[in-house]
Amino acid sequence: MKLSPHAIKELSSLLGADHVRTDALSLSLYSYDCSLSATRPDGVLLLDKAAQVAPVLRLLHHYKIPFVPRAGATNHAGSCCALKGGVILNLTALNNILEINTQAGFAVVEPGVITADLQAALAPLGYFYAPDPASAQACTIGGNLAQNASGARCLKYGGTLDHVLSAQVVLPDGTQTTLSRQTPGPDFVGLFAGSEGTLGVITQLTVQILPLATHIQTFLVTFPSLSESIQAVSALVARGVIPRCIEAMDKTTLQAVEGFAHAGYPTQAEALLILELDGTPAQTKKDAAVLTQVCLQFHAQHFTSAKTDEERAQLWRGRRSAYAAMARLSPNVMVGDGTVPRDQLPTALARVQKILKDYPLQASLLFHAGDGNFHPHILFDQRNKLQTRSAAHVLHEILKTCVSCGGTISGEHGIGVEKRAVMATQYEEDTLSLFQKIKRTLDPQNLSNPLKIVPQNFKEKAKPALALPPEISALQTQLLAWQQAKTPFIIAGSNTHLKTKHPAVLCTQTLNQIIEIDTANYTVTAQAGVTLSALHTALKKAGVYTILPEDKGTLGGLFCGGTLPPFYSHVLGVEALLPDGSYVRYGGKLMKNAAGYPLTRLFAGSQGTLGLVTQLTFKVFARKQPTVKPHPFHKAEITDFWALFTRALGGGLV
Amino acid sequence: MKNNQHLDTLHTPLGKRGLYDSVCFCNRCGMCAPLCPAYQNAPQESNSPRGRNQALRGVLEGKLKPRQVRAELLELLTSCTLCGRCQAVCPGQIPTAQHVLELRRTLQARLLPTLLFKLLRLRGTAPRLFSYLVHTGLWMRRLQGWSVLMYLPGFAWLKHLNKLLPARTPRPFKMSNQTRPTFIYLPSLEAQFFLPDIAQSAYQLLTKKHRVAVWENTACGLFEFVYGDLSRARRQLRALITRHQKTGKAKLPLVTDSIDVYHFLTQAPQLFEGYPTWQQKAQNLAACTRYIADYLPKKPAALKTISNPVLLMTSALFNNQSSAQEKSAQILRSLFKKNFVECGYKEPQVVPAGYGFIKGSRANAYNLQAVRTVARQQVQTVVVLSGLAALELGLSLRQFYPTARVCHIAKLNG
Repeated sequence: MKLSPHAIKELSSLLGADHVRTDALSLSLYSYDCSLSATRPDGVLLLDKAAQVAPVLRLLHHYKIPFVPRAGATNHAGSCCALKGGVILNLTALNNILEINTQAGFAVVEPGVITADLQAALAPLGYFYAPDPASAQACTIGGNLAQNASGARCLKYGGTLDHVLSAQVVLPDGTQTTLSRQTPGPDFVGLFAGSEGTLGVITQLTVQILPLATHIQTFLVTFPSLSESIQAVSALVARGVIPRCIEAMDKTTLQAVEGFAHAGYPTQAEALLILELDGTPAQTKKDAAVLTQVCLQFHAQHFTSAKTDEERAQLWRGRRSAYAAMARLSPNVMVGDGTVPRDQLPTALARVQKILKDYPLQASLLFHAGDGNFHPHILFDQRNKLQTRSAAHVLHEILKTCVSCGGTISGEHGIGVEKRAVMATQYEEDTLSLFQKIKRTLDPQNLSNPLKIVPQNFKEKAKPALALPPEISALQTQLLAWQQAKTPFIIAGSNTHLKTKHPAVLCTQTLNQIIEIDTANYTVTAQAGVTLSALHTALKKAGVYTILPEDKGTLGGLFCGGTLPPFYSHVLGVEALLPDGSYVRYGGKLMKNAAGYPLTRLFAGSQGTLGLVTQLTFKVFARKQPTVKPHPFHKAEITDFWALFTRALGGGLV
Repeated sequence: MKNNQHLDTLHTPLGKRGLYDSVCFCNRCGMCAPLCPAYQNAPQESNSPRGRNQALRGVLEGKLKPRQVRAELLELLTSCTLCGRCQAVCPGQIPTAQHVLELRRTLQARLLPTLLFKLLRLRGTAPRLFSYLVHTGLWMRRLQGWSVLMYLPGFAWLKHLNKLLPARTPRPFKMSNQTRPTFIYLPSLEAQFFLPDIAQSAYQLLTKKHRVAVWENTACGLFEFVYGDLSRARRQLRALITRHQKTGKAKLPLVTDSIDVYHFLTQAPQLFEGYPTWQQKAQNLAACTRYIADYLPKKPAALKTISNPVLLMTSALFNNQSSAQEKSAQILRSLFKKNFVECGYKEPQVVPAGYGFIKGSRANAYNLQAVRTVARQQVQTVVVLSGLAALELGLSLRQFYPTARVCHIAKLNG
C-alpha cells in the first residue's frame, strides 16, 4: 500500500515536511535491522518529541496505516521490518534522560536513550541500571523493554521486565496511558516487555536504578568438559552463591576468540567460564571461597581471579570481543538465541554442536551458563543463497532442539518474524490464541507492527495439546457448563480472602499437588491450590527457600490476589484455564523467556478476572531469603485498560 | 587495468577487500551509529555509518538507482565527516569513510564550491600560482578587501573562511632547506599559509637536532583523493614518491604536522593496487612517514605556558586509533599527568570538516557538539593534531567558549 497524499499532507503538517520521508533511499534505509529480514515501508516518520506520538498514531489509525516503532534497530529477529508496509516511526531522537532520582532509586528516560548512555550518566552518581545486553552501546532502553532484553547479569538481577517500574504508552488508536506497577491489577508493564511494538508505542519509561556494587571479583575458570562446567554452575547455585555473571564459551569459540583478542585464555580447555561476584567485601570473600571449592570439585583446570579494574578488564577482553572475533571472518553473523532449563544445558549444547557439525558452516557457541541461555554465532555470506538458507535452517533446528529440551526459542532476542514460525513448535494452540487475543484487544485493526510474534495459520501447525490432568478437566467441564448456560461465575482460589457467597465459584481447592521441587534448576512447580503452609513444609523438607510468607491461603490466591508484587518476578511459568474453556501453558523452569507476551505478568494480580491460574513454576533458593510481607487483600477497582482484557477474555460472564 | 574512478581494492585493517566485499561485511549491528558525529547531531539512519554502508550496498546491487535518488544520496554523503570513528568501534573494522568516498566518486559529486575547488586544485597543478593567489588573497583580507569580494557570486565560501582564519593572519614563516638533509618536513596547507606558527614550531622542533629539507607548498594527493579524481591523486603521489627517492635514497623520514596527511600517506599503497612497483614504493613512503608528535622533546619548551587542564581531540581523517594518535595521547598523559583529561570514546570531537567537506551549517552543529565536550570537561586548552582542526575548533571556541583555547600539538614546544 502507498500512503495517500491526504495522509502525507496531514502527517507533514504534524511533524514538518522534512520529517515525513517517502523517497526510495529513506525507505531502503529503514527496511532492515540486525537480522536477515528486510522489507521496505511506505514511509518513514522522524519523530522529535514524545508528544508527537499520540497525534501521529491517531492519524495513522484514522487512515488505517500500519506502523512499526523503531529505535536502535539492533535486534536479531526482524522485529523492526514493516511486513505489511505502512510507516516506520523513528524514535531515536527521543533520547533524553528526563530525571535521575537516586534517593527514590529510579530514572525517567525516553525510549530512544541508549542503554550505555544511561549507565554512563548513572555511574558518577554511584548507581547502575542492571540489565546489560551485549549491544548496550547501541541498543535503546525502549527497545530493551520491547524485546525484553536482559544480558549477562540476568541470573542475579533479572531482565528489563524486572527493572521497568512504569511506562507511558500510546495504544494503536492513539490513546495515551500510563502503566505502573503501583496500580492494582495485572502487571501490564510486564505485558509490554517482549511485545516488540505490537501493542503500541512506548514513549517514556521509569526504570529502577541500583547502587553500584562496592566490591566485584571476577574469575576465569576452565573445565575438562562442558558438562562439568555446567555442573559446577549448578553446584554453585545449590550452595547459595548467585554470581552476577556466568559467561561461558566452548572450545571452538575459545580458540577463535583467543586467536583474535590474545586475552591469554587457555585454548586447550573444553569449556571456559567467566564468573563475577559482587556484594560487600565480606560476602564476596565468603562466596569466593565457595566458588573455589566448587570449581575444584568439578576438576577446574585453570583458575584466575581478578580484583582490580585492570585485571578484570583483561579477563573480560576475550569475552567482550567474541562477536568481533566472528564478525571479521564472514560478511554475516547470525546470532541465535535459545534458553533451556540449566540442567538441560549440556544435553542441548551437545545436540546443537551436532547440528552445527552437520552443516558446512563455521559457528561458535557462547552462553550465559547461569540462566541456560545460549547464543550460537553462525557465519555465512548473505550473497550466497545456499549458505543463507543453511544458516536459517540451522537456526530453526537449534530452536527446535531448545523446545525439545523443555526450553524456549528466545531468551532475550524476541521473536519478530524470523522465529515466528517456530513459535508453533513451542506453544499449543490455546496459548497462541491467547497471544492473538492480547494483540487484538489492544490493536483490533492490526496496525501496530503487524504480522509479528504469532505465527500465521497456527491452528494447523501448533504443538498438539497435552492431556489435562483429571482435576483440571473437571474444572474445565464445570466452567464450560456455566458458559453454555450463560451463568455468571466467579473465579477464586480457596476463597480465603475473597469470602464470596456467589452460587457459582470456580476454585482451586482440588489443585493441591506440589508437582516438582527441582534442586538442579532451583525451581518449584506447584498447583495453584497448594496452601502456603503445605508449600513451606515441603520446601523445608527439600532444603530450599522462597520469599513467600507463611500465611493463610493458597499459592494461586497469593499470586492472583495482587498482595505480593515482589513475587511476580520469581514466577517463571504459569498454566491457566481461561473463561472460554481453553487451557494455556507458558514458561517453565526457564530463567529467561522472550517468546510471546509474558503471560505470567498478565495473570499476576488479575484477581480471577482473566482466568483460573492452575499451576505455577517459580524460583527457589539454596540460602534463606528474607520473606516479604503481603499487602492486605482488597478487591481492586478495574481500570479501563484492565477492563479491555476482562471483556476480551472473560466474555462478560466472569 | 587501473580504474580511475574507483579504488578496485580497499586496504582494510583486516586485509585487502574488493569494495563490494568490504561493504557486505556490514552486519547492520548498529554499534557504529552512536559514535558518529552526524548521528549524535541528528539520530537518523541516513546519518549513521550503517545507513551509509547500506546505501552503497543498495547502489552496488542495483537496488538504488543513483539517478533517481541523487539528491538524497548527496545529503547522506555530506553528513559524513570521514572521521573513521565508526571503523574503530565496528566489530568488522569496516572502513566506512572509504566507502563514502567511493560513493562520492560514483555520483561524481563536486561538494566544494567551484571556485574554491579550482583554487585548491591549483596547489597540485600550479603550486606557484596557488601560492601567489593565496598570498594575494590574504593581503587583500588585511586591507578589508574580502568584505566586498565575499558578496560576489561564487565567493560565498570566503565568508566562512574569513571567520575561520585568525583575525590577523600572521606573516608566513620563512623556512630554509638545509644541505644533506636527514629529515624531510612536509608542511600542511593550513600550517604553511594560515597558521604559520604551527609550521614554525614544527620546523624548529626538527631543526634542533636534524638537517631538514622543507617541501613547501607540495600537494600530496589528499585533496584530489577526497574531492577530485583518483588519477590526479596518484600522479601527485608518484611525484611525491619520486622526490622522496631522489632525496636521500628514499630512506629519509617524511614528517608532517597534519594527522590527516599522515593518515593519507600511510594508506597510500591502496591507490596503487595493480601496479606492484609503485605500490612497493608507496609502501616505502608510508613506512617513512612520521607525525610531528614523535619528535616532541620530553620537556617541551612551552609546556608552562599551556593552561591546564588539557584535553586532546584526536579527530582526524579516516582513522581514530592510529599509532600517531595513540602516541600523542601517551605524550600528553605523561606531560600533564593529572591535568590531562581523557576525551571519552563517545564524546563528540572537532570534526575534520574542511571548508566544504560537509555543509557549513552541519559543520557548525558538529563543532558545537565538540565545544560542549570542552565545556563539560571544563578544560582550558584543547590540543589538536592538525591545522584544519585548530582552525575549525578555534572558530567554535571563539564563538561559544572563549575561555578555552586550541593548541596544535607541535606548538607545545613554543
